[in-house]
Amino acid sequence: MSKIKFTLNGKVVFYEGDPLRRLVDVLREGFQLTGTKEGCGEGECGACSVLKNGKLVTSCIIPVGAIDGDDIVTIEGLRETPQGQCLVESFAEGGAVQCGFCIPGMVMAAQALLLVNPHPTEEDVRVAISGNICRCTGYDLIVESILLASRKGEGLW
Amino acid sequence: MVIHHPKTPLEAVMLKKEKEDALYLAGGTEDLRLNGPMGENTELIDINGLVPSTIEKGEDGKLKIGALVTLQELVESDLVPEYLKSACRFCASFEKRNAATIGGNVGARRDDSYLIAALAAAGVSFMSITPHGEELKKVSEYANSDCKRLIEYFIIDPATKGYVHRFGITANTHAAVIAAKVGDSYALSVKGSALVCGDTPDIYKKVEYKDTLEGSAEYKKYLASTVFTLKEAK
Repeated sequence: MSKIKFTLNGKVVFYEGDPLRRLVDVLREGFQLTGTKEGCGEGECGACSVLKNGKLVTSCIIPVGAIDGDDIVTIEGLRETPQGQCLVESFAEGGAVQCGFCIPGMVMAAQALLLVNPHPTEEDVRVAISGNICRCTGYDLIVESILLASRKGEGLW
Repeated sequence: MVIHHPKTPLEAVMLKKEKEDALYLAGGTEDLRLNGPMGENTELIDINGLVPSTIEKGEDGKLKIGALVTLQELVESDLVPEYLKSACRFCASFEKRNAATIGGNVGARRDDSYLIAALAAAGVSFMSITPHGEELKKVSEYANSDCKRLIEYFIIDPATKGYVHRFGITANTHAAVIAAKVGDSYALSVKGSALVCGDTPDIYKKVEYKDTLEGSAEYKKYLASTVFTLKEAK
């Protein structure tokens, strides 16, 4: 048993248990943050993406023991912010969502990009979501929606 | 399971020596461990903060790349040579590169590591911590050994040029053969076989090829025997 302290969506939280438990399981089952999805379980599809200290990472391959002292933001935490609202509205307006399973990861990838590059090109966006797989949309509407968010959210990032 | 938080790199190494099955915890190679053989009694040694996570250029012009530098940080650095960035891009997707570290990748000593082939071809050494103190070790020697030293930082000449090629049955499968050439040196990493290095393209003759899920011995031998000559004929 290990006690791990980290910041989750702006609040300091503690986890006590197996340090090798996957972060995605701790988020979904321990903190009921089910917006983070598990797709492949191998870090390849990006559905479980969260921000760790501002960097996009796949929570299905990170043991919770490796995030001691870190800052984790999930889709639930992002949704409550003006940036998150802008992304959600832009994804809806741009028709980016079909089945929706990949969307939390896509939104997190968009946020990670816009935090460092508020005015991305289409290529920048495609690189930023290159680790996120969508089986429905063909990506174009997602890319356009992220570009839309960067325009609508001028000054937010 | 227990996580140990040693205060110094030496303390971490001594813990590792004492508890042979313990695993180092840092970066993003944990997926390998989660899929690997771990019992309920596995102990972890947290090395975050104990080894460098920066890329620095020394007075001699050489780069000191900390073991905890992520693969994405290598891709984004203006200092890192292009062949190494290329190897990092092969390694993993954007998200994985944000977590996986150069030290973790080399430390895993996989026979399908793109980085090990690239670093070995470049003749790269790393500073390591052993129970007897700091010691330089060549990546090519380390890859074919089972020593348990802790990697501290890599020493790389940023002026070197080269390339890395991967061959696999599909884009998503593990590589069957990885070929790297940096400067005038060659390295071949063949799945199921030891890493080989040398100064001529015929290093493929040193490999003992084995059938694996990634391809037959003959398939891998064909790739290894042609990659350098075809590349240079271009």
